[in-house]
Amino acid sequence: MTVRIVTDSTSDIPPGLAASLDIAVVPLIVHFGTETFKDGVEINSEQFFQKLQNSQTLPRTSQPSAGEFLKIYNRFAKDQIISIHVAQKLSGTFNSASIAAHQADKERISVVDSRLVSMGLGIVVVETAKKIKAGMSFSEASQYAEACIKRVHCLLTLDTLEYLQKGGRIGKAQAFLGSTLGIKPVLSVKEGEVHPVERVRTRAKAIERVIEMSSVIPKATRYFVMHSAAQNDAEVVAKRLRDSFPGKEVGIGTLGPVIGVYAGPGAVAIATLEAE
Amino acid sequence: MAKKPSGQKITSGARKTSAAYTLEFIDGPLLLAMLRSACDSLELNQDEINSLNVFPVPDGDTGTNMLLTMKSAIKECEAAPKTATDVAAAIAKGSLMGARGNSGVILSQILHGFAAAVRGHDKLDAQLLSGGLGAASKAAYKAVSKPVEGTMLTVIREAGEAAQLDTSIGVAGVMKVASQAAEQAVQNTPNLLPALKEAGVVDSGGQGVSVLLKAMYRCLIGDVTPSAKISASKTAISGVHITDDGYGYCTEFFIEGRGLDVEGIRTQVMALGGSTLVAGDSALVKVHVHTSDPGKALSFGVQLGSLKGIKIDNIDSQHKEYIKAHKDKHLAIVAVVLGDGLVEAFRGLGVDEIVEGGQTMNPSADELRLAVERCPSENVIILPNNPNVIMTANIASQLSTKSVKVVPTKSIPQGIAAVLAMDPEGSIESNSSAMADAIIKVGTLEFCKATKDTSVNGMRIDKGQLIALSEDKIFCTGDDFGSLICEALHRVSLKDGMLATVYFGKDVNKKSAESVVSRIKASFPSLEIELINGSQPHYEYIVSYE
Repeated sequence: MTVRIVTDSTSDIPPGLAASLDIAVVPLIVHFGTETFKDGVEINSEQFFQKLQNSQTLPRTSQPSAGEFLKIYNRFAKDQIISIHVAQKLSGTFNSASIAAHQADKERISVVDSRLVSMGLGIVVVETAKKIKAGMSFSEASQYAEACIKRVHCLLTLDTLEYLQKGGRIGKAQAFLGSTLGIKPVLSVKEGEVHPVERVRTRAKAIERVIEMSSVIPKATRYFVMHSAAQNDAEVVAKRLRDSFPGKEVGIGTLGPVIGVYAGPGAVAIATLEAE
Repeated sequence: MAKKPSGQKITSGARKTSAAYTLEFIDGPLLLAMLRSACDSLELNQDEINSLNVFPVPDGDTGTNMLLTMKSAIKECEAAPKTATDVAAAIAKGSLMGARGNSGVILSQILHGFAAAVRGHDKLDAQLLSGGLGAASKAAYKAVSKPVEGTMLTVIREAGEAAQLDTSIGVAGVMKVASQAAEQAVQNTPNLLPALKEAGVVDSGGQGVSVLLKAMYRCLIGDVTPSAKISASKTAISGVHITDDGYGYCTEFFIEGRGLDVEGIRTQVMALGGSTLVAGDSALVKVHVHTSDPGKALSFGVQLGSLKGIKIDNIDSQHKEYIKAHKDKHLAIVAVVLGDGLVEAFRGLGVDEIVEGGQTMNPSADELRLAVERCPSENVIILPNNPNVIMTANIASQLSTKSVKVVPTKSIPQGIAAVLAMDPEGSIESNSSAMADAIIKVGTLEFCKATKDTSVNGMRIDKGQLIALSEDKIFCTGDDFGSLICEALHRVSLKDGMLATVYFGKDVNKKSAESVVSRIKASFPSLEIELINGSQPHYEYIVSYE
């Protein structure tokens, strides 16, 4: 009996990496008016942000149905499954997975609320998958995933809070709305929600603060710089981190379409993993 | 009324009998009369004291601040206390709550020190009086973290020292030498503070102390000068700011008319309630006031033109709902702000309570305390946004039962930097520390017209000339705001990619402000600029850079 890892498309794991670690990714759906796209399957980041720019209406998202999960869980009927998903507070995906797991066989399926999103979630999924490849058991790996969640930090800045607010995911960052002065938010994702950290006056300052705060996280071993339509900024950030921490792994990735719906273009984020 | 031990009354007026000089005690009523007389004299000399202010900026309010502080003190005595210790204690308490501006705060500490020294005594003999004046001086010095000689501190100190030299001369004698020493100390202040010498004035706060002591002496010997006639506008100003508690109905409307007199309307509206905001021009005036009788405000407005955009809200119920919605608000902020647009900017950033302040109308300690009480949180940070309000804010934080910290912001841009640095989920300690760090990173420049001819920092300044201030120092002058602002920006170390925020005041129209921004852009191509309509009074432009 093997242990399988399942996640959803909000994890933003590069497809090649997911494939090499046998991670099954269940896509959420992106809606542009009446058009629908399977996240990461029928639309990628570049296409999404292009469409966003030209679209009159704001896109929406919906979670995979319980049926989608059931299909996957049944495909791996002979295996144990650890299904790690985007924060419950941010998406109904966890619910769909839980319902499906209950129907399939809840003994062999562990559904985990990561309380994270995007590469934060992705890190947990990838690390757990690696441990499984290295031979960890189902129960050990489930515990490992939970512990890993606590070692992940997410700091980010958005060009505007508009998408987050209109998408209803602004959470505690609500406190940052309403300014008549130009401000850029510095946010974190904690306990499954977006939290306000600081407001600054310029984008440059905001990115600077995201770097500064990520740089003081103790025992950090790995940094992932994620962005939406801000490749240059991301590369500058990555270089800064590489220069400051020569021994540590620094990766760059793009935020997927579903995350893009809420972040909007111009987001820059750093997901940091602490050592065990 | 002063009484000889034999019971013979000494009448007020110019007649002084030799018996006055052997007066042995000052009882409660006499002490109160002396203090009332001091207050009246301060009122009489208010403008003169205001004009002594070294800086030719709309900040000539030492006289007003000390007067309002004193008035608040006297008001506290209205419960007819009987004994000297009662009067002193009431005066000290009232002045503490009503303390405005640094000079007001120091005055309140002088009264506090005096009251503490005479505590428990029904009447004061020469010994107690002189001890009281000595203690008053010590308390004044304690109130200031960096005491500077040549200010009101020197004056009260020298008065106290003179008073303690020889108490055998009786209470009147002690008061006389104290008052004379004060007067001499005032005349000497330009020798102690070069800025005074350069401006050709004596210290305003010191003059205020001297006026008070002189009046107390004259009252004691029965030489009571009739009080000056108080003009209507002065009554309106003092009335509102001492008693305003900001409740009632939030009443707002626009008056559309012709030839509207904004200043006149403001004066009238201020007499109707508190938290007054009146802005506009001869054709359209916006009125905002918190009053217990909104009908009065509307009746007033309707006589001047047609009313539009009328909004009336019950503040009490609004407040209760607000508290309900923000019950678990962790940390609240009180900011002192003057100017519609600036108020909006602060409110937009989530500041909970705004207290009107600014250079000429410094809020009292009690007004700040009330704002703290209104906040829907047990933890409150106060942002004074003006160096002359910092001490008052400290008093307010002590008066309040909540957990209050003052972040010593000295300007609007510093206040904004502080608000931006707030972590809504952090503790009051970590936030006040983060805010203190943030305010260092923003620079402030203020631009206005000189209110009088003066000489400061080796510069001759003519009334009406445009001046640039940085950290409360005048550092250049000019003939038009565009070039003056550019000159000032050249002198501070701007780096590439910095952001400048230009707040234009209520006396500036948008087009002028926009052309000033173009001038700045032309001189500093890599500078990011944001233009905000602050509609602040007194400073045509406030420019921050970070």
